[in-house]
Amino acid sequence: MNLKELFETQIPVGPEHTPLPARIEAGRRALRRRRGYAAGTTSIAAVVTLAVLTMVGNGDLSADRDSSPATASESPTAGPTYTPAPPDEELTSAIPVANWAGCVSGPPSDETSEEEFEPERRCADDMAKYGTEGQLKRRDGVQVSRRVDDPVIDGDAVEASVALELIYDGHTKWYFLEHGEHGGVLVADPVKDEAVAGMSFDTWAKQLGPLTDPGHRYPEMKDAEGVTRVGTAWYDQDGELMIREDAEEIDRVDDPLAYDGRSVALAAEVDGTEWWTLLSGDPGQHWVMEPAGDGDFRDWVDTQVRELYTKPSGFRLTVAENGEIKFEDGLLEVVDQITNPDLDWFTEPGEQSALIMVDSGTGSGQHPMLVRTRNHLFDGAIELVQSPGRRGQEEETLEQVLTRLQNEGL
Amino acid sequence: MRRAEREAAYSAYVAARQTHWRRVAYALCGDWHHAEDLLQIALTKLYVAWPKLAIDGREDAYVRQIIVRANIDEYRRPWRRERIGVEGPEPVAREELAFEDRSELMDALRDLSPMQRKVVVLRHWLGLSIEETATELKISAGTVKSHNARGLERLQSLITEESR
Repeated sequence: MNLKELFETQIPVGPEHTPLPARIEAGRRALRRRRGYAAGTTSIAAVVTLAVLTMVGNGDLSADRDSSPATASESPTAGPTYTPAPPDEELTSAIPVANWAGCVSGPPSDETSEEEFEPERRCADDMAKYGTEGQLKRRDGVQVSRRVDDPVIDGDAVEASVALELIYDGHTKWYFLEHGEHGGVLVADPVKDEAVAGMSFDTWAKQLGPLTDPGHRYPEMKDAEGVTRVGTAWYDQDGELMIREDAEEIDRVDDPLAYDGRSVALAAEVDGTEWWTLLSGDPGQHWVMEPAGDGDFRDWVDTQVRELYTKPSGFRLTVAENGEIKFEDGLLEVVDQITNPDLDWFTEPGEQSALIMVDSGTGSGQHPMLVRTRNHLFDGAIELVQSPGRRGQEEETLEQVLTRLQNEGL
Repeated sequence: MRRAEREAAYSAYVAARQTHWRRVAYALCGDWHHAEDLLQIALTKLYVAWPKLAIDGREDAYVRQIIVRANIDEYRRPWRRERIGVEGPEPVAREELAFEDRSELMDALRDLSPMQRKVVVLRHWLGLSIEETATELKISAGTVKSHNARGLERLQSLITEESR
């Protein structure tokens, strides 16, 4: 199989490209933002006075919305739109000033550090917000460079929403605001947040829909101790499985991870939404939860468990000269080891491996791991979780595990 | 470098390479809209970094890195909570694909785990070494090898199955 040739011949060319002028314009905008940011970070002292003066005022975005070609549908039921806002300069003029009691209303004290003039330090929601009547407001001095109206429509809970790319004093922030009884605020910093590094504002805004869609919001409730619990089920401090009282159980697989009874896969409905959950107590502390898919719940469970089998682990361990493995943090103890087992698919020349049996010390049993090393340094590990099909059977010895791996692979 | 010169050189590069890089993005993510987003992210950053990169002749490496890492970062977003514990998005529904997008290879790629798919694309299409792939994906060389071995094995069996 010549893969390179396959890629070259079988990956399609795809639809028409974005016109070149649009790509260049996107680059120009990014360059302007970058230069603006650089200017903002190097002249903080110069803008201190300006910041104090402008932060006590405020702006009303409704003027922008009424006059801007970026305005999307005025009807919240019309669904999301992703129209770019016009360039900065068209949005920075003549902002009506209203009385928004912002978080900062006076001059800073003499001890104020430069950092305190970063917009996010003054108040978490001080760049833009919804007023009580659903009127969008922004601080005076804040520019809107891009805007997406109603990326999320959430029936009764949220009456309106907006995603904004805002610039204040050279800092760019992405705001997602919801107006309504359960409305919230989500703020991202495209410069500093690793989570959004490399992402365009439009991509970020498009992701907000599925993120905040009511069908994708995790149910939350307080347990008997007043601890907020997320999801349909959880293990309490005693390791006992707790399922929400208002959850309607649809299907359930007990201990799919073979964690000595402390794992469960659950299909349950809460408030009209069916959720599929896979969770465990020790030793994995694994938790996956998502809205029910189109497929079969049991197939989903099998897939999740299989993912776990092959998921590389981030353990910290040391390798002695004689190949003996030890865990640095002491959380796991190696109780048995086969050094350099005959599993050539797991290593390449120059690498060593070990099949080990580990004990977490929690009384939840032991499980095998495959560890790969190079020059006595840890290179990677795979936890070998007992398959659901072996549940209830006697635990395998390392030799039996090795035989199984040699015959069947992972 | 004057703006006109910069944009002329940038335009020439984009015209010559955008199809290739969008195909790579598509192979990584399996969705044309997402692939276009990834490409646009990379080309926008390339425009900003152009004067330095063009002199060094590192345009391709830069674009490749942005596409791969932007794709990774998206999987690591903290608010993608519905996928905790799992890398990558839902597979693209095949029935939504246009006829011309169907190929044995793409169908097989979609059945790989996201990391297996990235490793296979970087190693066997773009010709990166194990170490280069590890650096690009921010994982260990050993993990690259594991994903590579399992990805290739799976790919081969899937393509063989579909050919029957």
